[in-house]
Amino acid sequence: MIAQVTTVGSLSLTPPSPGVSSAAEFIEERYSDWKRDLAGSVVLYGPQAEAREALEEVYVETKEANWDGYGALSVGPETYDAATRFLEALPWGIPAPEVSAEPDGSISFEWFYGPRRVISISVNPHHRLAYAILDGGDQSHGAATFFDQIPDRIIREIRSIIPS
Amino acid sequence: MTSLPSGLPEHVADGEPLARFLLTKRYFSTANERVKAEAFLPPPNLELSVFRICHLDDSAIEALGQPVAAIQSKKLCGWGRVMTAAVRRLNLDLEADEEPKRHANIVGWPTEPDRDVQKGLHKRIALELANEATLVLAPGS
Repeated sequence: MIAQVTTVGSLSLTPPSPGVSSAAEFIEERYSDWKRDLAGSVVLYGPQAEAREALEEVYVETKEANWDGYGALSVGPETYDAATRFLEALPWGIPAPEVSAEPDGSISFEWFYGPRRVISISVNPHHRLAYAILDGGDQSHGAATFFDQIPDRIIREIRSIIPS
Repeated sequence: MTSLPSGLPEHVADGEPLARFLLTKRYFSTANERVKAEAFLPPPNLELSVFRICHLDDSAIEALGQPVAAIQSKKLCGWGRVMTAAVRRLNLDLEADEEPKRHANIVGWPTEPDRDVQKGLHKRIALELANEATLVLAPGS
C-alpha cells in the first residue's frame, strides 16, 4: 500500500490509494475524518454554503412531480444526497454554481460566465454525471462516473471555464 | 399548402418566432436576464413543446400562454423566444401539433446508446438553444 501524504497547507483533497494493512486503514480513516471536517467548514462558511442553500431550495420546490408544468419528474432524496456529495467534493477555490433541476429529476450545477463560457453538470442517483460545455468556439459533452470524487477531467473543465 | 385550425400553414417557416412558455422560475435567471438550458431539455418522448407566435404582440402571447399555465395550475412566468431557423441550425426540426392552436413540437433530438452521454448531448444542444433565446417576462411575474 502506498500512503499518500495529504498536505493541509495546500488543501489537497487527493485521497490515499486504497490499502490493506491496519496502518493503511488508519490513514484512510484519519483522511476521511479530516476531509469531513474540512468539508464541514467549507460547506458552512465557504461559497458552497450559498450553493447548499440553493440546493435545499430547489429540492423543496421540486419534490412533487410536474414541478415545471411539463410533466417533470420529482427530484428524489437519492438525487438530493448525490447532489450534496457533489458539492462537498468540489475542491477549494471553485465558486458556487447556480443550482437548478431538470425534467428527468436530475439536479444541475451550472457555472455561467457568458453565453459561450458555460459548463453545466447534471447529477442523478445512478452515480453518473452528464455534462455539457460551451467554451468559445469549442463545445463538448459527455458522461462520467461519480461516487464521492469528481473525476479530475471534470474539475479541469470547470476550472477552465472560471475566469482567472 | 395545408392550413391548420389556427390558420397557420402546417410547415413551420424558418422566419417564425417560437415561444417556450416558462412555468417555473427554475428555468430562467433574472440576474443575467436569460433563459436557462433546463427550459430547453426535451422530455422523455423527445418532443419539446413550443408555440408559434408569428404576428402576435407580447400581450397576445401572454394570452396564449395563460391557459397553458392554468391547466397545469402554474403561474406563467414568461417565455423564451427563439427563431425556427436557430432551431434548425442545431439539426432539430419543428412539427406543428394543433390543438391547442399554434402548438408545435421541437423534434429530431439525437439519440445515443448510453443514456447519460445522450443527456450530455441534449444539454449541449439545450445550452445552444438557450443562447439563441430571448427572455420575456410576463407582466407581474
